[in-house]
Amino acid sequence: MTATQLIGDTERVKWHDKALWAVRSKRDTASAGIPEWEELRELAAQIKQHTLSKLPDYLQQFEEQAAKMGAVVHWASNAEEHNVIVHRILEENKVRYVVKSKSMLTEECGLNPYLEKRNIEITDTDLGERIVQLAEEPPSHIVLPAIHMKKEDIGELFHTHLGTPKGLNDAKQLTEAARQDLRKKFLQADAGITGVNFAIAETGGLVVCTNEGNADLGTALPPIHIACMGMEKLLPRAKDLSVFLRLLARSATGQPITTYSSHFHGPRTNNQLHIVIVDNGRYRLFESKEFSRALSCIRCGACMNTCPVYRRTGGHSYHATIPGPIGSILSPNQDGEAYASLPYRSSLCGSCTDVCPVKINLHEQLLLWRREMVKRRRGPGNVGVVVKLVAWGMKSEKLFAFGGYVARTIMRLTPSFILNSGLHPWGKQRDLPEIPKESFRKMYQKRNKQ
Amino acid sequence: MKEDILKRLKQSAVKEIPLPEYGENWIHYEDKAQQFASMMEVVGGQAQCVRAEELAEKIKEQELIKESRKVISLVPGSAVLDEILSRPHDYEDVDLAIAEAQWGVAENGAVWVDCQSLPFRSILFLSQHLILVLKKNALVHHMAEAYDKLKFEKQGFGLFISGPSKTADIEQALVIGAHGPRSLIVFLVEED
Repeated sequence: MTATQLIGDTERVKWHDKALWAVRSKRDTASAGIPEWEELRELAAQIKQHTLSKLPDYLQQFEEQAAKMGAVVHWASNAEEHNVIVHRILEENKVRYVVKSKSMLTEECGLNPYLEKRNIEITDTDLGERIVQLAEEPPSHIVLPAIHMKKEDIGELFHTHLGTPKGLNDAKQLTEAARQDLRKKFLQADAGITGVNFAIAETGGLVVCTNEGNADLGTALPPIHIACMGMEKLLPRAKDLSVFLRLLARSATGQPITTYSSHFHGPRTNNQLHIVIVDNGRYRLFESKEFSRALSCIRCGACMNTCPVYRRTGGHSYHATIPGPIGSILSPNQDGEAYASLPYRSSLCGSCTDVCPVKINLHEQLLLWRREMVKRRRGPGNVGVVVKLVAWGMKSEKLFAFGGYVARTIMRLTPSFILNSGLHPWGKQRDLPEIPKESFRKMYQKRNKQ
Repeated sequence: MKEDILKRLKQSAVKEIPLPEYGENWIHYEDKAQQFASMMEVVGGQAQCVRAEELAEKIKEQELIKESRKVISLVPGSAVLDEILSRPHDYEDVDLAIAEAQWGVAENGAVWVDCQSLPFRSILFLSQHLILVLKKNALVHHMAEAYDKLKFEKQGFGLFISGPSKTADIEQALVIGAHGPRSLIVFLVEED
C-alpha cells in the first residue's frame, strides 16, 4: 500500500490516526504510573549526552570488554562495508539460511536485498516485519512495522504465502499461522542476525528487547549470532540500563517493559558472536552542534505516534527508513538532496519533543533543518518571496486590510473545483472552510458597538 | 574501518558532559508481592505465592502439567525431571518448562533469569508454556534496584522476562503466544 493509497482513503486515514493515537494514550497512562518519570527522562537525556561526549573512549572500551567476553568486533564506516562484513561472516561459515530479528540499521543498510542477491535466504522474524517482507514493502513504523495494514490485507497475504484459508482475518489465527511457519525457519537457520537496543561499554554486553521472543529464538538455536549496531547505541554502565529500560517500552507501546530484555555477554559456548559497529554518516551528526542530540534516540517511536502529520499520512509517505519526526531529522543527514523536503512535513507543534523519553528537541531541530535547507537552496523555492511580500503587506494597516479583502473575495468567488484542483495538493482530500464575508476586525468592531 | 571511524570522532572532540547522579526517592511499594502479581496480570502472566514445602505439590496440581506430554524441569527438588538433551533444537517439542528465576521486579512484573545454570537457553523460548520459580524475598521495587543485584563479569546470557511471548502487530490486537511460550506462571516461594 503506497502513501497515496492511504491518504486517498479517508476511512483508512481516520483508522490509522486513531490506531496510533491509541498507542500514544497508552504511553500517557504508563508514564503517569511512574512518579519519577520526568526525572528519568532528564537522567536519560544527560546519560546519552555524556556518552556522546566521550564516544570514542566508550567505543574502544566496549570493544575491549566485548572481546574479553569472546565476541568478535567489526567496524563499518558505511552501509556497503556493513553488508560486506556480514556477508563475509556468513560465507566463511557456509551459511544458507538466516533469521533476523528487527533491526532498523539493517534496513538502513539494505542488508536483505544484498544477501538475497548472493543466494542467502534471510527471513524477518518479528511478525510485523515478516508481514511487510511478504508484502515486499518497507516497514511503515519502527516499532509497529505493519501498522498501515488491515487484518484483511494480512489475511490475503498469508493466504498467498502461507496457505491459510482464504478470507481468514482473525489476528489470533493469523499470528498462529505465522508462528508455525517461522518456527520451522528458526529451527532451520544457520545464523541469526539481531539489532542492538543498548551496548554497555563497562561490560562489553549487548541488550536486545522484543515482545515476541524472536531475537531469543534466533540466537539460542543457530551457532552464529551477528549483532548489528549503530555506534550511538552505547551506554557507559550496566546500571544505566535501569533508566532506559524503564523508559523504552512505556514510551513505545505503554507496556511496563518489553516481554524479553536479553543481555548477551559473549557467544554461547563453542559458538560465535560477531558485533558490527556502524557509522554510516552518524559522525556528521556527532560533529554538529545543532543536530548531535538526535543521536540520543532510542527508537521508541513515541514521536511518530503523537505526530499529527505522521498519524494522517503513514510512514510510507516519508520514503525514508525511519519515518516521522525523528526520521525527518536523521534522513536529511544521510542524504540532504533526497530528503530535503522532510523537515517541512511537520506542523512544529512540539508534541514530539514533549513525549521523547530522551528529551530530544525534535521540533526545534526540524526548524533548524529548514534553515539549513534554505541555506543550501533546497527549501521550497518561492517561500522567500512570499515571506517578503507578506512582511511588506503587514507593515501597513491599510494594505493588510485591503489584502484580506482581496483574498476573501477571490476565494469566495472562485469555484471549488479550481481552488482544489491539482495545482493545490492540500485540497485533494479536503475542502477549505467557508470563507467569511467580513474580516475579524470588522466583526469585532460591530460586536463592540452592540 | 575502525581507525577512520575513531579518528573522525576524535577530530571533532566535544567538551565532556558529566554523568548525572541518580535520584534516591524512587517508587516504593508497601507490598512488593502484591504489586508484582498485579503487574504480572497486566503483562499477560500469572503470579502465585506458595510456601517452600508446598511448591512441588502446587506444580503437580497445575492443569498444564496434566495436559503436557513433555515436561522439562530444571528446578532442584521439583517433582518432574527430564533427561538433558544434546542440541538446543532438541527441546522443540517441549510442552512445559520449569526453571528458576533469580530476581523479580515489582514495578513491571519482570523476572531475571540467569541462563548459566541451564543446559540450553533455548528451553525458555521453545517450550509452549513456562513456569518460573522465584524466592519471594528476591523481589525488588524497581529496575535500578535490580541492576544493583546483577553482575556481568563473566561470559553468559541472562534476561528479564515479563509475561508470555506476545505481539500486537496485526491491527494492534494483543495476541499471546507469538514465538515463545503461550503462558507464564511465576511461583513466589515463601521460606520460613
